[in-house]
Formats: sequence, structure tokens, C-alpha cells
Amino acid sequence: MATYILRRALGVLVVMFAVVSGMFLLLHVSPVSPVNQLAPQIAADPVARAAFEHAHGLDRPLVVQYGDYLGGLLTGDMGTSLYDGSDVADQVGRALPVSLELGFLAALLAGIPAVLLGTWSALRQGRTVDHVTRVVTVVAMSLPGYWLAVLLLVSVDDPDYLPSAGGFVRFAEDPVRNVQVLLLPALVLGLGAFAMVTRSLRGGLVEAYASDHVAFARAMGSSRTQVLRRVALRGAVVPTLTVAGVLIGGLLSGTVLVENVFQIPGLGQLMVTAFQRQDYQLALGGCVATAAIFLLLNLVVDLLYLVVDPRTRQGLARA
Amino acid sequence: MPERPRLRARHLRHLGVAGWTGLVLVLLYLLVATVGRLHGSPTELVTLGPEAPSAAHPFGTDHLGRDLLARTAEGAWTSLWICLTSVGFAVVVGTAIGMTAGYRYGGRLDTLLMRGVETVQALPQFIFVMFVIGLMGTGDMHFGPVTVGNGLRVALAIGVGFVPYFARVARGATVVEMREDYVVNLRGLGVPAREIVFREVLVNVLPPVLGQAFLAMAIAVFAEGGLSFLGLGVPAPHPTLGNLVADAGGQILGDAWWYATLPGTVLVLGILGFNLLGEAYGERDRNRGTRFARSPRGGGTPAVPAVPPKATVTEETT
Repeated sequence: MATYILRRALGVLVVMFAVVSGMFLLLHVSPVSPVNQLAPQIAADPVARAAFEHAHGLDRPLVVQYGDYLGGLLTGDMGTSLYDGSDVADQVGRALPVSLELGFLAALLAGIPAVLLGTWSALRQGRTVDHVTRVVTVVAMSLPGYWLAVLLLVSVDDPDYLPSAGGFVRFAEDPVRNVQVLLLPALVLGLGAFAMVTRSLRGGLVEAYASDHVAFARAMGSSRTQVLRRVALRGAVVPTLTVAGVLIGGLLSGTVLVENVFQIPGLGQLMVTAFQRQDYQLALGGCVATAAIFLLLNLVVDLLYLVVDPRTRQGLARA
Repeated sequence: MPERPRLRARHLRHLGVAGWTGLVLVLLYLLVATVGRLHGSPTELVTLGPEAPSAAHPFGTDHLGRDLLARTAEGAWTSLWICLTSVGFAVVVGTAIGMTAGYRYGGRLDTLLMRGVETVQALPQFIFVMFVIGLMGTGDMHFGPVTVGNGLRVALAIGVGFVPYFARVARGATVVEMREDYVVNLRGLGVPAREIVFREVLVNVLPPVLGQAFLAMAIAVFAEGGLSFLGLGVPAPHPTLGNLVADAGGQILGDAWWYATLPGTVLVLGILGFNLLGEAYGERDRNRGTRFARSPRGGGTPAVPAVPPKATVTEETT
């Protein structure tokens, strides 16, 4: 199993390398030049342009720039922003915890009710609760977070719950205020995840209850709660883990939109500003960080399979 | 052409509650889009400042006094057009890549293509689309005589983001189909490979791919709205559902409830409709795959009574 984990981790590194290379090369061959976005006295004047390009090393051969960037990444240096000359790694480092906290809070707010509702509707299969759950989750999945966020902005008056009114505080400064301010964004962000987890858990449980294992456990005299806890839920977790990859992607994409509506200084907002200003160095840094988190979380999910489902471990041992 | 109407009718009958609801919602979306375009100009200033919905302006007017129904309709058309283009592009390119990989299953080309797909999927889809938009810039692009306008640019970016999904689905289906008896038999008869792939295999690969297309439409409507919302999509004077919602958020008119609500509702109609259609399609596939009812619920007749044996095999081999 250790070799499997090692192999998977190496695979993640290879993909990460491909992603960084691909993004770097695409950005540098793209027709859009970051220099065009500068003040006109620089962008229109060939001499000033050349000077700017020289100062940022943009006039060096592509291979040299690429090697330089890769080397920098390994030592935690992501270059400097082309817009204001600030350190990219520093900016990403400041924005990342905010986004992670928001995502974590959203996952928490989504996960707990989803498990309860999913289980409840599976146990009451075909009854009113089940039907209502089905309708609610389909609708919840289809509500775009940015629209809900705008509706909340328009309808909620209390500035304590709105980070956009300049009320955002970092967790280190005031934990209570911080969580309070992030509550609405996290709810909006978690809604889609809540719907997906509920649906897949319900589906998994229904399938598990139709299986022979459950019938056998019941026949052997296990109580209903025991069956639910030890047989049915264990079987239902596997298909739920399968949607986790999609879910993590959805949360990461969602943070971009939600952070922008609520003006939360996270990674998503950083990236959007970077793209709007065509500040490539900063955008690239943001994308690299997002890709790294996404790949890492997916790796964790893959390893969780081994924990949750002993059959996959068996398969590894045999292979 | 005699085959066509019969096929249609059979599809409709098996839509189920979810499917019918989805169809109705999508039709409603189209209705708003059509009626609104007939209603008036999306850019003309008809009132002074925002006005609540009335008989003359059913959706009210926006902060500049433009008719919101006309703007929503224009936006709904733009969104629909962009989404159809992007999903169409993704289906064509994704199927081509996936079938090539599936045909060369296990070969070097397969590995190369799938590694590429994996790399693209290392970024969450929406962020990848943002990246592609960043690559292309926000102005019109010129390739010699061909000018790629703004809408098409957004459509292409979203489409590129979908290619990996369709490539995966198409590859999986192709791998299964290539192992089927009919392919082996046709090969034995000396039918050229090109003909088998385009005449026989393609027909069997398309249904699962098109089933995903409905779900992709729902995501595309969402993504297009999101991009316009962030100001990375179609720029402001031209309405799309996304930048209408963004405008409503930016103007913060506390009492103008209709401004954010009504265009957003149309947006939700589209997403929900396509989601439900996709779900109905998936449900149908699942019912066809398992001959024996998997849930003890039992009630209702199975969606497709005659089970083609092939489908069962598919389920087992994947």
C-alpha cells in the first residue's frame, strides 16, 4: 500500500509539472501582452516598453524564462506582479487561508445537514420526505451562487453579516466576527455541495438497503440502527466519495464567484483581478496554487477510498 | 426520414416527471426570450430611473430606465446561443478525441491524449475557462480574415473546458463498443476500419455523449452567467443574464427587488430545465441497464420494457 501511495503522489507531481509548463508556455505565446495594459506612456512608447520588458526579464529567451520560473517555484518564489511589482507568493500566501477557511466552512455547513437529510430520505424512501428532498436538492443544485449572493446583498441589511460593507476581518484578529461575516458566503457556496452529497448519499443508501448484506444483517438480528451504521452507511459512503472530486472542483470554482460578490480578499478575487488587469505573473501564481490544492484534495479522496472500503485495499495487495 | 417522428415520440413518452418538468422549464425560458425580444428594444431608455413591474414593462426597468424584459430576453438569447455553441464544439471535439483514444485503447496515442485530458482537468473547470479567457484577452481576435467576436470567444473558452468530459465519455463507450461481436464480425467480413468506426461505432457512442450534453448545457448556462458576472464574458452594454445580475448587485437598489430577481429567475429556469432533462436522460439509461428493479419501490412501469441485451453487457464490462 505504501508503494501505491507513493506512486499516486508521484503521479500528482507529474501532472502538476505538466500543468505549470502548459500554463506558462500558453501564457507566453498568447497574443495578449501584459505590457499593453500599462499606462499609455509606457505601452505606446517603444523605448519605455523595451525598458519595462527588460526590467521584468520578458525579453530573455522563453527557455530561460521557463527555467527561471520553475526554479523559482521550487524555492517558493512565484515572481513579481506586473501590475504593481508586489511579490506574488506573498499575495497568494495571504489570500489562500481566507479561501480555504471559506471552503472549509462551506463544506461543514453543507456536509452535516446533507448526511442527516440523505439518511432520512433514504429511510423514508418513496414517502413525502423523500419526494420533497428530491425536489429541494434539484432546485438547490440549479441555483447559481452568484445570483443568490446578489439577492442576499440586496435583501440583508445587517452589516455584521455582510463582508462587502468593508466588514471583513481576518480570523486571527477576531475569530467570532470572522465566522459571522463568512456565514452567508459559506451558506451560498455550500448549497450546491449540500444538494450533491444528499442525493448521492440517498442513492447509495437505497442501493445498500436493497443488497443482500442488509437483508442478511437484519435476518441475523441486528437492530435497525446497527444495520444503518455498520452496513448500509459504509456501503453508501463509497459512491458519495466518488462525487467528492466534482464537489471540490465546484467549491473551488464557487469561491471565485462568491468572493467577488461579497468582496472577500481570497484567492478567487485575487485571480479575477489579475485576469482583469492581465497581470500574468499573478494570475499564473493563483492558477498554480489552485491546481495544487485541487490535485492534493483529489489525492486525499483517492486515499480515503482505501480507508473506507477494505475491498480496494485487497485489490491493491493482489495487483 | 420515416424513422424520425417515431423515434421522437418514443423519447417523449419516457421522459418521466423530471423530464417533462425540465422540458416545460426550458420552453418557458425560450418563451421569455422570444416574447421579450418582440416586446421592445433592450437599449432604449423608456423611463426615468428604475420603475417597478407594470403592464407596460412586465419586468420593470433598470437603473438607467431600460426595459428589463427586453434586456432579459436579449440576454437569454445571447446566453443560449453561447451555450449551444460551446457544448456543440465540445461534443464534436471531445467525441473525436475520445473515439481516437478509445480506438487506440492502450496504445501510445491513447496514453498521450488521456494525459492531456488529465492535465486540463487539473484545474477546476470554471477556473480553467477563466484561464483560457485570460489567454485570449477581452477584445476581438483576428486570425487573418476571420474575426472571432466576443460571444464566440466566450463560447469557445467554455467549450474547451468541456472537451475533457466528452472525451472521457466517448472513450469509455468506444472501448466497450470495439469489443462487441458486431465489430469483430464486420472486421472479419473485411469492412474497412474507417467505415466501422464512422458508420457503426459512432452511432452507439453518441447516445451517452448526448446524454451528458444536457447536463453540460446546465453547467454552460451557469458558467456563461458567471463569466459575464465577473466582467470576463460579453462586455456590459450588451446584456447577458450574467451581467444583468451583476448590474443589479452593483447598483444596490434596496427597494428595486425586481432588478436582481427576475433576470435571475430566468437564469435559474434555464439551468434547472437542462439539469432535469439531463437527469431524465440518465434515469432512462439506468433503467435500461438493469433489468431487475434495483429499488424495492417497484411502483410504475419500467421506462423501457424491452431490454436490449447489449446494454446489460455494457454495464458489466465497464
